[in-house]
Amino acid sequence: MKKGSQVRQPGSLSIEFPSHFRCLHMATEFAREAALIAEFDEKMAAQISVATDEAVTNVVKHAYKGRNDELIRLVAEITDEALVLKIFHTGIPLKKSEIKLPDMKAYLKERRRGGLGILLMTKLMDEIDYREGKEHCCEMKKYREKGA
Amino acid sequence: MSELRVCPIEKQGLWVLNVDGYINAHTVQQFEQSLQDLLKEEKYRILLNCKGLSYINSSGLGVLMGSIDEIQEKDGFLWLCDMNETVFHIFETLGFTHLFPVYRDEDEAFNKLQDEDTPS
Repeated sequence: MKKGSQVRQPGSLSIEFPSHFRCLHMATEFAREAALIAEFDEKMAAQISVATDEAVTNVVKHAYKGRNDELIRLVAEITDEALVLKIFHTGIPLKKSEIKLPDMKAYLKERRRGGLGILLMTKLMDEIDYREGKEHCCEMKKYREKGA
Repeated sequence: MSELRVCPIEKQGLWVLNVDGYINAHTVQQFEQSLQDLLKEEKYRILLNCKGLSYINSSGLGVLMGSIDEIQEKDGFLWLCDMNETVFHIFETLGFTHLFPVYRDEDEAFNKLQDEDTPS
């Protein structure tokens, strides 16, 4: 490998951490670094890290109802076509059918507060999916063609 | 880098709130408190200087939304300047730039203020 070149080969990185807001920044930095390793540029890496912040925040706030003694596992998979971030938890699963994205025109007009996290995730990432299982998972994808 | 440092400075008739660090669910209360402290002291002309702000999440945007009504009712304003690309992208993507004027830097904001304060 040439000196200074990046690693664009399939692989995965993962961290596990307590469901505490104090760990949020570490999770976002992990996602940012994974994006840079996957050869996304700084701008895209920063956006991916903010989407990760929102996803992990939702897990702490809603899945674990603010409890900070649970565990969250964050996995970054680097594939040929995308960076896939998976946030695993064992709290209350989010059902896709329950997601209602706000209409921003009305939101701003009525000066509402809150409820923008998932919308921001959808704006910053290419695909978002929620799966229920032994561990529930929020999966976010960013494709290379659009981002790197 | 510290998690978040918010420092208010009075400059040319407005309060500049310098924000250094990041605003997420862990730091948002500190950010909200700093903004609320200004409002309690009836300081309603506020420029949020984002030069040191690496990112803001939706809870930080919620703080801005939660204070804009009070500020505008008191004929004040909440402007922002010196955003990095990520922060600006978030504001623009969600349409927050329609509600919160964003300036390139403090100089541009002060020039705008001078124009507004000059009787026509």
